[in-house]
Amino acid sequence: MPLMITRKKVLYIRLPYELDVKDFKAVQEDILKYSDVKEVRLDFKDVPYLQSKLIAELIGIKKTTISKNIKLVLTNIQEGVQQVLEISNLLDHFTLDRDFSSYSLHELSYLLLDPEMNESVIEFIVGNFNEQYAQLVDEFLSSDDPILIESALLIIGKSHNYEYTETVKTCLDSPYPNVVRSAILVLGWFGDEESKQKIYEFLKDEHIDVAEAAAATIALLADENDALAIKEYLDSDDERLRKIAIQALSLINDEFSFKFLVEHLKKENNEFLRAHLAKAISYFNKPEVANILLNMLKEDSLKIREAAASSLIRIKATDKIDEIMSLVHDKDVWVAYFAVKAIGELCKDQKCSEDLIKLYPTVDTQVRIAIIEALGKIGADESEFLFQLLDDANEDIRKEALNSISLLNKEMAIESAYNALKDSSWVVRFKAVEILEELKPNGFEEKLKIHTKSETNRYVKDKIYSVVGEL
Amino acid sequence: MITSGTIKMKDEEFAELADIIYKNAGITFTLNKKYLLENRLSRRLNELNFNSYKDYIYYLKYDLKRRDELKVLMNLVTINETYFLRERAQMDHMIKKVIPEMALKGKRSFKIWSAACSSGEEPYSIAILLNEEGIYGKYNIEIYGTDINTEVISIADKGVYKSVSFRGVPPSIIDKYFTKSGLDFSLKADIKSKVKFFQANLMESFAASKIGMVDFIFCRNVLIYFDVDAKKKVVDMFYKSLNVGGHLYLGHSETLSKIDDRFKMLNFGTGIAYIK
Repeated sequence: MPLMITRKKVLYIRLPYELDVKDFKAVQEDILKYSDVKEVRLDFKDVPYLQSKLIAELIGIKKTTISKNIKLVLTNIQEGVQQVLEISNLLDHFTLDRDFSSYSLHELSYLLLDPEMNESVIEFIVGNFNEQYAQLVDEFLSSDDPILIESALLIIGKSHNYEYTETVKTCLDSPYPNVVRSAILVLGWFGDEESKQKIYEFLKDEHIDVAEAAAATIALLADENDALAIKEYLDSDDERLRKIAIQALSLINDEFSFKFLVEHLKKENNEFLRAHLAKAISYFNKPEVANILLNMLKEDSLKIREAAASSLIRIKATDKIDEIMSLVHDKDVWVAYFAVKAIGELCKDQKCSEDLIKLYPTVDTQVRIAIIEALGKIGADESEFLFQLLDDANEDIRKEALNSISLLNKEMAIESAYNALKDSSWVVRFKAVEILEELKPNGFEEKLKIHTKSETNRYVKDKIYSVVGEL
Repeated sequence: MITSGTIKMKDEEFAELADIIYKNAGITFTLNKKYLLENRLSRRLNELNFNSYKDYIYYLKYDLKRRDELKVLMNLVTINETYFLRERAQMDHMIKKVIPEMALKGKRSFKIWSAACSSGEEPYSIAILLNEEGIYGKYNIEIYGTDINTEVISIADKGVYKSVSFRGVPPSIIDKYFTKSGLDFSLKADIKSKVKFFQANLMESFAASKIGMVDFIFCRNVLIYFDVDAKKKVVDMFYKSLNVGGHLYLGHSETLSKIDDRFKMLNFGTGIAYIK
């Protein structure tokens, strides 16, 4: 079998199509022979199926690697093999990975057409770009497949191949929106100011992805004149174009952009766009922003009020805590929810915690959850209050209480997390494992290993395996 | 800065969302597919003003509109990109080999089910190829397309596509079966009428009962999203829905090994069929 050891002491073994017991025995021997390696990667790319008799051999290899403190990774597992591992309840016990270096250029082209693989294959080619891949890019660019052309453009952009700039520019005229979008993005990454005027035309494109890419690229290439140019679009009758203009100005993020957005807020009537403006304005680091958002909270539209409230979390309006605190009684549950979250981000004063605790019995579940989260973030030790909530009937209340305790009282958190491993809800048990991983009390790995024997939920099991290793 | 970029998902959030999706659609997302969920849901979070997936999970669990939002979520995570004449070898096998053989034995009616048909490219491709082979005048053909996703079924019903759906399709086929208007390609009415669409969740046993017994099932690149239990359930439903001698066509990487041993596997060179 083909075998390779890298300088990083990784042993690569490529398994044959008709995999047999003797092949796995040979793998065992290789591992023993090269026992100074740190990682063994078994490549299943050519293996369509795993016979049952090989399962025991695979477990044997796993045990050998554990005994030698070597990490074992199974790469390029096909559906047929994965199914056998899943049926044998072994899937959770192995680390699986994709290794594109085993694939031929033709195979990589095929994988690029799979939407789920596309991004990873592009990243691989970018990371290993050479003459061979340059030829592949040329082939893609001359193909009639829009996905391959798009992939070629993204590879060019991410690997900074500036010599393709003129080719990328020609792709702006492609009939395929995905190709145009990629070309716009790449020209932005290349800082190609010559293309900026042409890219302006795409702000009006009927495909929202193309228009948004144009907004982002113009922002990337912007100088002091661009905010003024984009301002014109704010007066358009086309609501979508106004939305793109708002987005572009938020991305440019200069003095002019802020001024134009605030002016536009006075005349924009569309509810959706006003909500969009609230978010756009909150991305400017300016003292006026807090008052603008608080004023928007006086509007009638729920959509606008929720956008304004959620944007309060983003700004650092520590001088507006009282105003924000008044919103926690709001009739709209999501405005109250966001206000509480904002308090959690802004306030470090015990008074805030006390006010929220007083409020707790009177509010809806979502707001209660936000209060519990905020108590952890504010930092005043309210662990006694939170401790009582660990018996609440609602799993999310118990989970958030556990999390906030972990931020306030380490000793209580460790004890509570161990207890929570017996909770009836897997989301609480998952949180308990996360907290134990974070706080790392003595002997927690052993206790988690013992817990896996009785754990029935796959997400909690996966989490424990990721903390303590497999098997 | 305001962008429509992806919002990053914590492992805890991923597990909860994956669980909600599994319970409602039977689709399994493993941790290495987290980026897919991020790509598909970030825009929705922005629309709802949420800054984290945790907020969204609580919205799905506690808001008065949670049932509607669950439908939105299911539509977002079950979109599968496809195109006309994709992996046509199996369609050719059915049309050029199996249907003529069955016809020789006296069969005159054929029912075809494109399970998980997305926006309709697969069943319409079958209708186009059947027409190209001159099958429609000779036999009674019924084609059904189903998908869990109500949005893609609506696109399929309209039969209007963009250029990206025609990767590798010969221009002669496009000219013959589609009318171009601006950037839209509208399927001509005679072929469009050959396929009936409706929403169906393969995890629900009554999905098949809406169609009845069929001769061919195309369910390609779908089972890979299901865990073994869900696969067994869906394949059992397919088995019960197929007439004896009926063919099941799966995606090139999918296999019934260890899932269902009642089918006979046929490797016809350019693809695989499972025969009842």
